[in-house]
Amino acid sequence: MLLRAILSFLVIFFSTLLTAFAQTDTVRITLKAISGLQYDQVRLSVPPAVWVELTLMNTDEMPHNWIMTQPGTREDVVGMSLELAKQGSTDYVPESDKVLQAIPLILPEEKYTISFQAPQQEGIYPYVCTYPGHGAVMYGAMYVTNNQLPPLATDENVPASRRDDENVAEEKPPKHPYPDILPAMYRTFMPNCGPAGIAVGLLGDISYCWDAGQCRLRYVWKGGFIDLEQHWSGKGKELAEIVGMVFYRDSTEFPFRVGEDQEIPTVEFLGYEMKNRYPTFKYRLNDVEVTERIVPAFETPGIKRMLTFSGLDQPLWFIKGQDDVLYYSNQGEWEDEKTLRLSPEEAQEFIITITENMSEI
Amino acid sequence: MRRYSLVIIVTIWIVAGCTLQPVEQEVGVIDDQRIDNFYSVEDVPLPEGLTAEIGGMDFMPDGRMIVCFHRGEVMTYDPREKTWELFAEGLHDPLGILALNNWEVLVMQRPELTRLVDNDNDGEAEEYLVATDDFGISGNYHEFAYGPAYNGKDLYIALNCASKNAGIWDEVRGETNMLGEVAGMYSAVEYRGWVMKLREDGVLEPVASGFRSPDGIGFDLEGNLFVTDNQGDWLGTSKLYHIEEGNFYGQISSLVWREDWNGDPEATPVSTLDSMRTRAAVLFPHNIMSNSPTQPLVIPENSNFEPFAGQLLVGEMDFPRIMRVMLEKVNGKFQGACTSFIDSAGLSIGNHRMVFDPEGNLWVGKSAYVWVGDQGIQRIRYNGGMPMDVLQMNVTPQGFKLTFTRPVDRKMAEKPDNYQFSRYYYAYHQKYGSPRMDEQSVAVKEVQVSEDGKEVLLTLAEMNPGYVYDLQIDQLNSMKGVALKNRRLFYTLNEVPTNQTALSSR
Repeated sequence: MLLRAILSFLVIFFSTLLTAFAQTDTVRITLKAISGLQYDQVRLSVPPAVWVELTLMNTDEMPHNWIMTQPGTREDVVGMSLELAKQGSTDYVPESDKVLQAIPLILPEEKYTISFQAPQQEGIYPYVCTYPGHGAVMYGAMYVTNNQLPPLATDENVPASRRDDENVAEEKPPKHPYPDILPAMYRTFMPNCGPAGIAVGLLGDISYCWDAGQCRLRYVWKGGFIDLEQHWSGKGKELAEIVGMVFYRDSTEFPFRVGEDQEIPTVEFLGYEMKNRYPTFKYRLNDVEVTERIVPAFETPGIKRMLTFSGLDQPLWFIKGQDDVLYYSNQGEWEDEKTLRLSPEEAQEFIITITENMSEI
Repeated sequence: MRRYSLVIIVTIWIVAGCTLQPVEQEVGVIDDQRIDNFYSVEDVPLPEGLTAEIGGMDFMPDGRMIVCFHRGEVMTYDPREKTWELFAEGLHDPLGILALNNWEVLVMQRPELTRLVDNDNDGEAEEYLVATDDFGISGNYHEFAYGPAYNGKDLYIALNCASKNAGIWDEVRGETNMLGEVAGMYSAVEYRGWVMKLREDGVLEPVASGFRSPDGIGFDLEGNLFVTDNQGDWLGTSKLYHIEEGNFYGQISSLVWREDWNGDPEATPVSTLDSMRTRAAVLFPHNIMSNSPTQPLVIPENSNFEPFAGQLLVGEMDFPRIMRVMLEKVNGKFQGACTSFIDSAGLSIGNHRMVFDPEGNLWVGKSAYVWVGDQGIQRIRYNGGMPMDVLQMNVTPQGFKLTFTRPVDRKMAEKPDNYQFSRYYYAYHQKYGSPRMDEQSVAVKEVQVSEDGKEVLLTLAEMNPGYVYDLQIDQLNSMKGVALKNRRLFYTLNEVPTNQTALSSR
């Protein structure tokens, strides 16, 4: 009994002492996930071995997590998380030595606090959101150091779009009476497209331009969506402005050919259906009904074109629109460097993946 | 959609305190009526974050209002709950909407007429289907598209011309014909400057040509189609046209798309063009009545806006005004008068789209773009009582017959000096707009008042077809002392009847 009383006393004594110690020596950080797939702070700085109490607040309209990794392993961890996602997991925190700390996925308007001791070893410890599609752009760096940080403008450890900005992106007035979230779609005036243009912004900051006049994908870009402020605030003279960098442009006369004659088919746009904010385009090539749904290819910047052709009684050809990207089709055979041939059966449902060729960059 | 207006004048006028007291002599000189005893105007609450420039409004059978906005949103409003819900988004400059039922609407956006379908009845459309896109778009920003107007069978849309302030894109949709690229507004792609009909079988066919900026299309109760057009090149002043198949209405660029005409519009003599055109049913005198007319909306039988059922209301962008149009057929053609329906009295400018709710109240949606205008939605309720107003203005061989909503004060009504007429016309030419031409006052020689006191027959010194007859009534009360509400009327005299028109002996 006495021993137990003494032990209790000691526990209370030391825990009080410890709390007091911790309170004076804990670094408290509140980090926000904000719209546009970003954290409000892209750099944090803590001394080695200090106690950190980190709160993640999700002020965005989609779920986010926060993972701190071993130096230089951010991309590996993002890759492992994608593997988890592909296996059907909704927990995007991989079991790995490379993961040092993690805040699990939290929903919009939620917050989550963890406490941990900062690494003993000085270094640049990346942090990243590993929700599929976010990892490529939503990250920052925790500097474990007693020294000053290097200039932000040349800091390779933060996203390029944030190197000119110490804090949060400027607050802009709302565009609509509802949250500005991705995926999103606008019919608008797009550059390098016919006047019946469509812009779709996908998760992972991959966007594409689809031409409803010509019934075809025109180009794909990464790093953002579109800015319509100029178009909206004028009479419509100014075009939508592309945010990011175009990495794929279809330069063919038309990417699909039906039958042996290889003639350019006549097209008719029928409209589209929205599901989970993704459009499925419906159009006719000659008499063949086509549906097309485009989703991001999360592995590397790119897209998956999910296509169905119904009513085909002749083969279908797909022609590459640009050479320096990677193509993959789950159906058909490549006849040569540029041309994919699909039988009517194969063309009933197939996926063409177009991704940036990272090895060339 | 519209063209330049007297921005500076209107600005001065707004700065000067939003009264209708004109800074420049001509602007808005109708009446200083800041209070209306018969109608009240109230602002409708809007969701936060909405840029409330209204392109179209209609009511669904279940009582929800459906509205489309400049940035592509389509939203429903439940007037009982005062709640807004998103129905669709991402459209390109929608400028017209038609509710087909509680789950389907047609929206006219720049590239197409689109059918939005809410299949699962969750209040949000899943399907965005092409109703028609069989018309050209060149990428010129001024190629707005309006409508649809529906007569229970076919749908009618109107296509704006392109602006000389911008070219066309390298890639266009549809056929091009650069002969249509005339000075001023132009029609380089097919059916720009036309009214089109979408038949029940899905074919879009051209109906009538000669439009410049027809930001208003609608039917009356008898199924006659009317379109407004805006002052500019080939339009001396803004107009209301009665649309008949095959007719040409005056703006020349669209002629290149007429199958029965092979000329070059700009090389054709103005006199030839003038002989080809169909004149407007009603002219809206510029700076006095309207600088930018919008939607014509018929007053339904069951509204609270008796006794004006069957007449047309027309929105006005630059003045805090909704106009009222009184039509009649003379020698088989529509013509008539316009006056104010409501002026100021809490109504703002930018009156772009209108719709009656099932209870008979009028809802007015605002717009501006970068022209003169406003944002928001206002609702106009009838407060009861009979306004003292001109119910009808009819032409007679020697003058006009005014029918009033209430018996007039006979003593005041019988004075010829009480009726100040002037008449003028507007030139038909390529130049932008026209001054009032050959403006002269016309003496009233004789006044007769009917037995029941509701009709006043005015005999004028002369009646010249082709002129606008501009009437200012100075002092006129009803028999019971209610002052005449709208005292300025403009009759477009295309035709003078030959039959004698007598006063009714009611």
